[in-house]
Amino acid sequence: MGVQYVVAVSDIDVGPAPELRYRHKVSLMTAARGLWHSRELVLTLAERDVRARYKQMFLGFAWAFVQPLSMTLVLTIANRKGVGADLDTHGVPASLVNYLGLIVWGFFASSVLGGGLSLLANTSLLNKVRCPREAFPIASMAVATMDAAIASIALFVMFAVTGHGPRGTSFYIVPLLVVLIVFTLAVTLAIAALVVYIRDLRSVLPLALQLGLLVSLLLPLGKTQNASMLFWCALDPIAPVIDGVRRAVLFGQAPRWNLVGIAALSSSIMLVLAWNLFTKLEKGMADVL
Amino acid sequence: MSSNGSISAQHVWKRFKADDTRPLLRDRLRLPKRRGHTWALRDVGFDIAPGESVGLIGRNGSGKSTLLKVLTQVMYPYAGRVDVHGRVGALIEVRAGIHPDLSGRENVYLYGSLLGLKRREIAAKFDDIVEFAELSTAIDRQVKYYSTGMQMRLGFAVAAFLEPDVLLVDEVLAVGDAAFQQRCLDRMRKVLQSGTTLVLVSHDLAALEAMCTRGLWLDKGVLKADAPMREVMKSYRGAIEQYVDAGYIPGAELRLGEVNVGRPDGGLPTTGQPVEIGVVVKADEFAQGRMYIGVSEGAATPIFVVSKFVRLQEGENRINVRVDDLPLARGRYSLWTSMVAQSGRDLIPWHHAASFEVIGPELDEAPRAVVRLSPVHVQSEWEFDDTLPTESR
Repeated sequence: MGVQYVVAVSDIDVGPAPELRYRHKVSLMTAARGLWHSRELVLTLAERDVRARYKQMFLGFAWAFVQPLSMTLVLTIANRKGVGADLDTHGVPASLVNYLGLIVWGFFASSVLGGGLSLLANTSLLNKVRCPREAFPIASMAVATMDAAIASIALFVMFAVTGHGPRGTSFYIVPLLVVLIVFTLAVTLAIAALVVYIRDLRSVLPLALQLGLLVSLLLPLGKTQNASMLFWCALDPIAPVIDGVRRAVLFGQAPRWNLVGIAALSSSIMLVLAWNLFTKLEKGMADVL
Repeated sequence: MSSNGSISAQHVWKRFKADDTRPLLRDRLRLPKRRGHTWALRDVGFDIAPGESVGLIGRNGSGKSTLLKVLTQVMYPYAGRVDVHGRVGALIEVRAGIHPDLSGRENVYLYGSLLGLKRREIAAKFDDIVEFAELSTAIDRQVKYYSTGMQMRLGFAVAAFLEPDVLLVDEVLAVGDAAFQQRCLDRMRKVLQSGTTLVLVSHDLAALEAMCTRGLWLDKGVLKADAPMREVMKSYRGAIEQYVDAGYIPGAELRLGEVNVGRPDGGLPTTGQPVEIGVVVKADEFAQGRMYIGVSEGAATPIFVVSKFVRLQEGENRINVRVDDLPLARGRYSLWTSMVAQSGRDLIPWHHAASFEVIGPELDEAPRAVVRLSPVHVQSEWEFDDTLPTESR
């Protein structure tokens, strides 16, 4: 290799020619393939989060119950005092109805909170290794899934205590969970990317989730359907999911499929939009982290 | 997969926002101000073949770390193309990527899976990593209880042992004790021998010279030179010298006049021959103190220093220093000087006073990855049986 001194280019202050501009285009397929390749990374990250979280804690995994149980207590007392009392429980104890809804909401809330801050929390990793950045919010969702699974154990204890078992229609929850996961993924990805640029969201997030909890759980969907309810389900797909899960598991009814369908449609659109937002914002992340 | 480990960068530009504005909403609501940009990289292009070892030099803020981040592909360029084939291991910030709440073991596995390795592959390397990092039982302790040195050793061991195709190292040799530095260099040499491409950023020019065969010199984001390491180093040292010259502010109580370096017979300084250094110092009144004269390769750290307590009369004082046997090899050197009063006060601060050429033999090369402390020429006579056939030697 000979000596090759690079002569300073004369247009150095002008900037690069427009055709040289770097275009950050990631097709959904490439992204999905990259993500599939890094599935082990997602699991390792999730495992790390779980381990790191329960280190130096005395109660350990018990925390997964404590939160929904205490909220159930609050909500059940609120029900007694007349808040959201128009909820038809079909003879099932209100605490059970509330707890089931809280498991669903808890999954969503801890995904969004954990996943939303996951990129900020992992700045040192993001600045070091090239890996699909979606892995971080998705790993947080995996952690939230585990928490929900642990919280569900308490559900079975409550079934045994109250004598109200899960109904035969429980298998209906499978499509509902798909809608839940799609919607949660969409919100988590969007928040995770936005928080990097707009740090205010960090303070807004817990507040918004508190409000969301009240809206999705305390204001149950009415019995009669109207246009505004459909619109509401499109905006807040969690509400029909919680409604459907309660019907399927506790009341022995089928979910209201038209509401779930609207929720599924809007969640899918949200996911595509969120994914686009994420890849778009990902380009400049290392500059501001 | 023969191209694994190759790096290609074409017309890479990168800019950062000049962060002169607060991002507060109440500022944004006023008239939108055009925000400026600073270019960190300007039209940088090069190709690195698998197995090459490349040293990246340049002054602070010249874009070295940005280039490394672009090569790692954690940062995207504003314009241009970057292709890096194979697995990239990067040691960019010493403790980056180490999670304080996890044990050393968990961190090793975490970092391994970030590099895209399977658990089985990491497990196979695990013992080597622990041994290299000298952690033994501490590997199961939480990393936040590690000393800085332990964290650093862990970081280096993980990056260097997980067999990346490309290893990017930024200024890690500056930390850690001398023994660990040497082991890092040894490890890097082994990594190189196994065919890994190495890109090394350091201000330790001697270490770079020991490791790298090719040099890239970045200056204000522009690639100024791309040539064999020795040549890049030569021009880089020349530039440092010029910079040091330009930056010299006389805060001295005494003024330095003419400085000469030459053979007593008037020729150019020559290796192994006597040399005379003549310095003229102007004083406004009687002064006394210790005079230091050092010779360096451009920077403020000298190869050798000679000193003597001197008394100066009012007016011009001529000081002559004779060195009988000049130990410098062929090349360009800088003369640094200072004078310190008995109270410890600087009469002349340590500064670059002159440059000179030395003629004579080239310096013998050191083995790869062995850092030479001072480039001093030593005359040596060799005797060995030359009659054996060449193969058995």
